[in-house]
Amino acid sequence: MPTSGPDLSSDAARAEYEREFTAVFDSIPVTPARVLAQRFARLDARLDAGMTEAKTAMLVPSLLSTAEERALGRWIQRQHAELSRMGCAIVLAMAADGRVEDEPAMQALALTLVHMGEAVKWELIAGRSGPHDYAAMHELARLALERGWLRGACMLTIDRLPRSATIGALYFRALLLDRFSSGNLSRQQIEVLDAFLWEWSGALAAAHEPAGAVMRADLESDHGLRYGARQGAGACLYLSLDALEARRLDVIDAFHAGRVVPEHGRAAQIRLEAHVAVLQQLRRMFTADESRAPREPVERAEVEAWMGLNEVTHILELGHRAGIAPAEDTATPSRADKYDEVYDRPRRLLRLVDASETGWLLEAAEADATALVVGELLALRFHPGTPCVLACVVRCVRQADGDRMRVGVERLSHAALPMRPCPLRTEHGLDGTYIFVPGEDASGRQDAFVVPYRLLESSERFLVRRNGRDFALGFNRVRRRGRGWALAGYEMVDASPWEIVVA
Amino acid sequence: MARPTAPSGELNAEQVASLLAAAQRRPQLADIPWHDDEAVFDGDAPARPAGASPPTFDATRRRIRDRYIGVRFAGLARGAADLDNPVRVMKAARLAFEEGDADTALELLSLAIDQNAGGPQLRLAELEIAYRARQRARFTRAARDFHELFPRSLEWPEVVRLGRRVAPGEPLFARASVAPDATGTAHDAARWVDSPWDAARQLEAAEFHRAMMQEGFLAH
Repeated sequence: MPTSGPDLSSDAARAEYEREFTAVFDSIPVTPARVLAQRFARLDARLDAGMTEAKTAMLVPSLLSTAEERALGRWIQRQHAELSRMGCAIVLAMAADGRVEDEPAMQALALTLVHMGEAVKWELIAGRSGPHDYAAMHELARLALERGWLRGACMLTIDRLPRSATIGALYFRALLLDRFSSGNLSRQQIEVLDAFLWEWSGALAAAHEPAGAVMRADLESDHGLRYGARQGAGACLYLSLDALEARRLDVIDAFHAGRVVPEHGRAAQIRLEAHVAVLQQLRRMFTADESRAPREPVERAEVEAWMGLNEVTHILELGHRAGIAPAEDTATPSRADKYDEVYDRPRRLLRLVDASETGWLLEAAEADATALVVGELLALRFHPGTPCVLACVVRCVRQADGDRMRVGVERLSHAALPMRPCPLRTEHGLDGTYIFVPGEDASGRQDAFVVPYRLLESSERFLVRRNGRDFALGFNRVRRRGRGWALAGYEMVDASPWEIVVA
Repeated sequence: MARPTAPSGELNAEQVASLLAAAQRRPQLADIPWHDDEAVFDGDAPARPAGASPPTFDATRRRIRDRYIGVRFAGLARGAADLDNPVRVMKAARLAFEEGDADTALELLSLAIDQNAGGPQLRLAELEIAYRARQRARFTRAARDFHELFPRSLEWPEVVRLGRRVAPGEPLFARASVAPDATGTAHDAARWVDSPWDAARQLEAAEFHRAMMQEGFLAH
């Protein structure tokens, strides 16, 4: 298989690629299956070689605008989706042709599964256009099961690097990517996850019987992976979560030993934060700790949102100074609206879709969706005149058929316990106003502050004066962390060594 | 069979060409020069070579380990140097455990033990948290290591007592010649991780909570 090809950034090369794709696609009904497989492999090699650098470049969002990135992501996603569709047709043609040997058919099947996985990955940027076609993926697995191909190893070229994987591993790779591409991992994180999956292909073995903690793929279903053994009749394949957890721990051990896994390739250049975030997500998955609070229907409503630590702090400060505007006064400018005057900030209104005990699902229009990324801090006001609730974005799913984005947010503060802007001063006289987030426990043990993350990088102690009394505290744990902010727990410390000067 | 058509709104050829050209610029992704590390992890072999300990790591490996610690234990440790103080590590581990994150507590202790293999405190703290988290395999492994390193430790009978509870039938504890567990009279677990919050500070935390919950507070 060739390991390089024409760069698809040139108009001519891409036009040639598309002509070749169309010719192969149109010739499927009239071309011998073996020939089709060769042409399919050539298209795969050209797309891989032609897009390797562009895919790497797209890991840096700042290179392209959001609209450009999305458009290019959609183009790449469509190429993989079309190749996987073509692959399905070719594999079925090969399976029906008694003259075709196993090896080329397995190779075509492997490539098809690779492109299914890639198409799922790129949906993160392109957006989901609807339910996935799990049935096609399961059909390929069923064929591999019937022919005894699941454990057959195939040589592949991915991002110009040689790889080896079994059909079963490629099938589970696509299903795992599908599970993680529903918006809770960033583009960089999904790339790290994929790199792990390639490294762990030995642990992605398809088993016929459950042993230990497992996920399963129901081969006659139209859904993705599910936890546990199948109840009732029906073909399914099992994936050992214990084996994957062991590999995850190997990666952690490698970090302890000062090594990155994998050590080379695209993922090795991605910031370490992404690796750690993926390892945490995987832990939840492998220990079956992905339970989500039940969703509750809600009345259609609009929620006003403020985004980012600065905006959130300012709105709380101004709201607190001015007093919350009563609901009946919202038609006229209120004191709280001074914030909008000062910062010339357009109102951001998100639509409430559903709610649970732990958070909400919101929908944002294109203009507001731009700033919404996983880890962003939000203040949400559900009704005019009521206090804001603190939340952070945990999931973003772009709708491919429109300009809207669905955003899952996790609640960080209690609606009945309003947050307070709180000035903190260090013993060196540095001031800042941060967000006090009260916990439900009157002991104060669940209380926290939202602060810029960099504030925690020092071991400073902070002074707060209240009712003529000085309190001193030091941050000592991070309960949640996002883009530049942290929800940090603290402990009370001794203020006496300080020379306290109150302005 | 009809070739799938591009969805409306997708880029035309010229737009794709210009975007792809823009994307060819080499991104500046790497903050850490991983690749000057000659050691290769092949994905199959044990990740940690026998006998290797953090103080012997070269600069690149130390940097990666440091960075990992800073990211993984944000707010608890900024790097390996912060793990040199056992008291500080045990406190951080206890806080993580109290927040419901036993895995973080145990990983933190494991890293610190790698750096400070000589003393028993961190290993006892690991045992206590593994016991409280009911992690049988982890407790047993840690107990075996502890007994090998400190065979005459006065704490061993207590380790055995906890081991018989968390891992009943485990030969390491069943065979140990210590007094049987006095069920109903013994306290539930040792206090190796550190004592709970200082009572005076606890009171102060409640007072601070009450003060902060009062309306109208913003002034310095």
